[in-house]
Amino acid sequence: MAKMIKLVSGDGAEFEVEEEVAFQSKIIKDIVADADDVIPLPTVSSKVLIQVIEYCRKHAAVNSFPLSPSSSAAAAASSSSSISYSKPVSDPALRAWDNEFVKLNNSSLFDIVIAANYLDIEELVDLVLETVADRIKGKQAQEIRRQFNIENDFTPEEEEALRRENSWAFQNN
Amino acid sequence: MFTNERAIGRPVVLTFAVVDRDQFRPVSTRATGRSSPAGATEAWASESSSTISRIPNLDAGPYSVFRAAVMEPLVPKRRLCPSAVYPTASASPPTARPVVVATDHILEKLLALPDPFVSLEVSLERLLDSRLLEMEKDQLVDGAMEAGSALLEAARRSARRRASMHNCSSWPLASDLTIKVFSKLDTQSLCHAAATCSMFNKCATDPMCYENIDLTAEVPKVNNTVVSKMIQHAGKNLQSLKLGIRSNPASTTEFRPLSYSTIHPMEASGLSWSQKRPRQGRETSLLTRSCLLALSVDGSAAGTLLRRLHLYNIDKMDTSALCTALSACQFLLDVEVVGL
Repeated sequence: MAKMIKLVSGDGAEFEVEEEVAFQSKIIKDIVADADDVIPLPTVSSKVLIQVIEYCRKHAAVNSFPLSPSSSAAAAASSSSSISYSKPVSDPALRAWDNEFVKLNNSSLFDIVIAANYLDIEELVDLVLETVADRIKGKQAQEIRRQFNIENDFTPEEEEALRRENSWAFQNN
Repeated sequence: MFTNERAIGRPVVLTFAVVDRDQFRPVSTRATGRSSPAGATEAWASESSSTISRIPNLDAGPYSVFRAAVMEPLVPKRRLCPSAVYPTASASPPTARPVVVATDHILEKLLALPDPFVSLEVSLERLLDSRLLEMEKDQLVDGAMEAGSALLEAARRSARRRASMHNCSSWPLASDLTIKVFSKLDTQSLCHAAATCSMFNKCATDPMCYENIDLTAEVPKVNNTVVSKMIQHAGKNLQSLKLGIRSNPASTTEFRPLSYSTIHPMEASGLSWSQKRPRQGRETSLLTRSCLLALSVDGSAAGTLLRRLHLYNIDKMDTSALCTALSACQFLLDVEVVGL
């Protein structure tokens, strides 16, 4: 019988999850080691907690089974380069699932990454931040502002200095 | 009571005006501050207790604590820039009434004018007529210009302050997460992100963002100064550096005819770098032989962790400069030099 942990969201909803799912969060793992099985998470709303649990459930299932020969070869290949790019998820099926998972609007993504950061779920944090970065890549400054509802608060002089300093980046190809 | 040991910050009582996000109207004048993403501000507006509460993530970046417009006009003019920390915010006595300056009334009346362009010009002309001396008239006109500029500058400064505040509240990530996002960007996108607003600009100066510097381009654009600045930004974090001119490896699949000199025949098929067919480096490159000097300064601080160095078609690079650079980087694993 798998041990169950109870998570309570900010708006009071309770979620029972298997221990190995909950332990994707390092924070929860530490707390359960000390004492309680009931963990209040006042800063995490139900909607976000559901999504986080879904991610953890999927990744716990994958982590608990030994890697198939093809995915373990991929894992070995990616770890041979000691340049620290973010570790890619080696299983292509899981990667596909992850890509579907992050097809959300910016606001939802931010909610998830903040919760995942709070709960210390490193892979989820990385996944979402990578997605956010992808939404910034290749865009001009004005497009980035529009995407993320940012306003230009530079003085004309500051803006001029910035463009001059990295003029190579602002020339159109 | 569940406490997250990891996120404990110093307990602080902040006095500030909580501002309605949509209208920027003050809705209350005292609340305990809490650093949290934007969505939580409404929750805190109703709290009026002045008990000390923990502010997690205070060290994650001051701009994640919600800053609002100060109400007293006597507070010294400072940009409500996300990077400023206001430890004395609680020191200002809550009961001190601001000195109501006559200017406030004047300004209010001025801003209430229904048709300022017309009415101001008419009034100015009338005042000029009433002055008899030429010198007085000159002074009047000069004064009008000065007042006009002053108001324009003040309004622009306010607009920028409000823009900064808006950014603070609408960008939900604390600076450590923002920096992590930026560290995943290619160098050019990083520059664009830095140019969007002061908050992003500040995050973009963090060394983590410069771990992998890729300044390659299809045409020469980058000069030595840019390279050294970026290497400096990276400090000890620099892991990968790519410079020079090459055709975008992702853009074209068709084979490009070789057009560079035959001194360096690139026929070796077994090597991966032979597949990157760089363009003829006949264009004057703005990178010279000293472009890698920054790696060697400061006891090779920047070169320390460098693992990957790719140089493409840097005309003016010569072997001795290259050797100096290489000797600064003790731990290189991946070196690619094309068109030397």
